[in-house]
Amino acid sequence: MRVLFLIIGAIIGIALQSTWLASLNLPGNIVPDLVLIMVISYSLLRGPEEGLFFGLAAGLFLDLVAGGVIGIQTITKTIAGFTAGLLEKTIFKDNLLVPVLAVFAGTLVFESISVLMYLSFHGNYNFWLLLITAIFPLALYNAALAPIIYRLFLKMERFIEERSGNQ
Amino acid sequence: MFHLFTNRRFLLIALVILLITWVMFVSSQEKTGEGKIHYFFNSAMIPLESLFNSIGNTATGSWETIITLSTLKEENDRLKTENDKLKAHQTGLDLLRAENRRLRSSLQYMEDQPHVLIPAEIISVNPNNWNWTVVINKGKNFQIAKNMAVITPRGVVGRIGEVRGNNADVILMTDPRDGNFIGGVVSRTGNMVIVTGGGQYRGECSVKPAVESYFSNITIGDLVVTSETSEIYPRGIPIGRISQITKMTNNLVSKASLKPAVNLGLLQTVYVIKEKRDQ
Repeated sequence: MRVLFLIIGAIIGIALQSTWLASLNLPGNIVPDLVLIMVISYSLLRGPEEGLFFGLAAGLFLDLVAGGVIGIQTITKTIAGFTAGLLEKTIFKDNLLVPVLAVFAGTLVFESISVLMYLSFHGNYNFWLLLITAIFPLALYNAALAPIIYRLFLKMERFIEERSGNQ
Repeated sequence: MFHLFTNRRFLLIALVILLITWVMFVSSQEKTGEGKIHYFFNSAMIPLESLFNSIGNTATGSWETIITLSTLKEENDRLKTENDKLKAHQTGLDLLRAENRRLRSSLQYMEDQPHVLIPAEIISVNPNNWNWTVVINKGKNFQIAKNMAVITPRGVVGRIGEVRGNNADVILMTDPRDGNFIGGVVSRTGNMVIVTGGGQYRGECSVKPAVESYFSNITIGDLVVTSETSEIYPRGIPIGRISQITKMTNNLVSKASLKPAVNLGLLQTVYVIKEKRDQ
């Protein structure tokens, strides 16, 4: 059941990202990265192993839908899932400040890694200007959405635990 | 440290990373056609993205109508029942009116152009922030082919990328991928330039001289249009205006930034040039 929720969540997240969130025309011409928020939120709840696999699957799905160089989002989301999952045993899961800070820091780090990887494939980017004008605002938008996504995952976990406890 | 090489989990992770790295290098090479896997995933997502797009458009129209009517609260208290009915009716009329205006201007534009144009609507935007592509609602079934030019009345939008039966990708002119460039000319001076996607700022393009290593005469605000040398675009279509210039140590301008003439964040209807007819 958890796998089903994750699959549906990833599909709806990408669809929302490319339609409703894109139509908001946020300052900086940036769209919040719901996939990264979901990967980090799930990893904070479930640990590094499950976070790694969810990051791998969600990143690969995003690469296949978006096109271009396939593998960059796969790698960055995989590493993001594993790294965020390492915090699982040290955080208080009901504290909503944790996913906000984790998503903010994670966006700065992993979106920077994405841009650097695109640069290595001859993309025409100015990394330092992008960091200030695009990645930093993206981190703020992602952090603003993180409590909502994290709460949804928390409710999903509690629902699954109750069902498996009742059976 | 050597015990890592006998650890099965470590070997599996290393193998997966090597596999992903190989896929990255393979997928970064120029391809003649779209991979079957990418075709499948993209085609599978399109219906859901179309549904979300139409729901979003309806919600935006309804919200604007609600904001307008709230200023009439005192009078609405007296005529509450009648206003509820008018609200629903108004939402439908506003949407129809806006669409009617858009379609009229679209028809007029197509009649005024010498080229054969195929109008198309934007369904969705690339979910990856570092690729600038959009998906339009027409594809092979409407005789759309790869590398056809895409424009609006305000100027150049980009070119067609991958094409499927009923939809196609448009690579926007600001996409920073390797090989995304347009042959242009500075309207005021006649200097030939190359406009490349990506640059100093997100959403802008880089401009370099096509022949020499520096610009002889360029200023901020100069209009750049497509040139005769462009294989894809008809000549004379606005690309954008120079927004920034970069001077070398000897005070000559080697590179400039260009702001597109079209607001690529507000695209709704675009036109694919099926047949170019230069006058």
